[in-house]
Amino acid sequence: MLSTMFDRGSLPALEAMMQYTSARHKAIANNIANVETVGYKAMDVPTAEFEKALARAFEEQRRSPTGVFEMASGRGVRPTADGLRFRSVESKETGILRHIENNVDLDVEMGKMVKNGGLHNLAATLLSHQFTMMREAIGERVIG
Amino acid sequence: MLENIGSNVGPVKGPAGPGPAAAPSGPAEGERSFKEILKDSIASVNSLQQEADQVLEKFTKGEATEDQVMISFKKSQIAFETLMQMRNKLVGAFEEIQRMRI
Amino acid sequence: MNVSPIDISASGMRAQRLRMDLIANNLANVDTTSSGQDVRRTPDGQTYVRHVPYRRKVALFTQGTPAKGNKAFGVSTPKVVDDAAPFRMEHNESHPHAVPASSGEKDAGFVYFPNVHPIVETVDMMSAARAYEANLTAVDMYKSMSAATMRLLA
Repeated sequence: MLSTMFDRGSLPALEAMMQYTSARHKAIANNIANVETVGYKAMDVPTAEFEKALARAFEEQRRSPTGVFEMASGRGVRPTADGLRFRSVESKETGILRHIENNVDLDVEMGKMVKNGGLHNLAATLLSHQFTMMREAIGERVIG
Repeated sequence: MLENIGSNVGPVKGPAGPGPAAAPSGPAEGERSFKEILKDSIASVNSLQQEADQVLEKFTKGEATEDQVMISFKKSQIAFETLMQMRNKLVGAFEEIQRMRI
Repeated sequence: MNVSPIDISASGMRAQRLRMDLIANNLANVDTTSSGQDVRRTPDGQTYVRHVPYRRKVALFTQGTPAKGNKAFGVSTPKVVDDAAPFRMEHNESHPHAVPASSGEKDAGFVYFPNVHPIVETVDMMSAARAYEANLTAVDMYKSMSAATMRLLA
């Protein structure tokens, strides 16, 4: 029963967003580390699929009588017992193919990384708000 | 439970807030009952929370900015905390009155 | 095996640093006309020395962190390979490392210089420095993301 209170409201959506940003950072960091690796092709997390799954989950939540939010399985996004699992796919935001058969564009990756980090921190802050309110409701007191 | 508090304490002048409860008296003209003010507050906290959820959804679709999300979440949090404070003051006042009777 | 984002970026930083070491070495040896000697015999039994200049070294990167058993994430310690590009030749009989006339070889009187081009090395150095910085920024970003996550516990 206690675990279901975390399935309501914006909590699960924010959690999903944080899992997405964590997975994406790994892919971007790998692209940056392999900027000079021969034959390496830039990787990413399937963003479009994730956004679609998120939108669908919001829709379902609105229509559901219990207000439960659930991410469905999709290409590259899979809910598991320990959270969402993302599959790394070939990135669509690449640079030109250089002579070492590598298509990583450092500037593109840096831009993606900053945006992704910003999104992560925003989701964390909002999640923190939600947790605070829950604790206030439970403790019947206002927290600092 | 919040409604019941209202009916015991009776109407108070001005907006709901801190301070000991006034002695029960007839409703003043043109004043809203405390109970109504409380109900309104609960409703607005609810709607602010729903609005925050909606703005978040819009944000994930790219239809809202980061600031809008932050602001609506913060608003809902502050409204909630205000309600919580109101409720605590009320409960405290109620308990004080209870003690007086004995 | 799971690799943490810190490991990924750290491997990138290490790889670029090693690359910069190689570049610095190349630049330091841009005029090393004799990094090795090759003793030869002429058809009539005489010996002469053929000097071998410094050959440019290049870093070869492969994906993955074998030390952590991961083949996809991170970049491995680069392998050092020789640049097979030909040496530069200059005719200068009085140069101490020139191919001696006594050798009777077709390239007698020529000096071989390393296949290192300072401009190419400098551009490489800038690219390596930039890549290093980018990996460092990735570490900072991960630290900031972790801190935000930690604050949830507060």
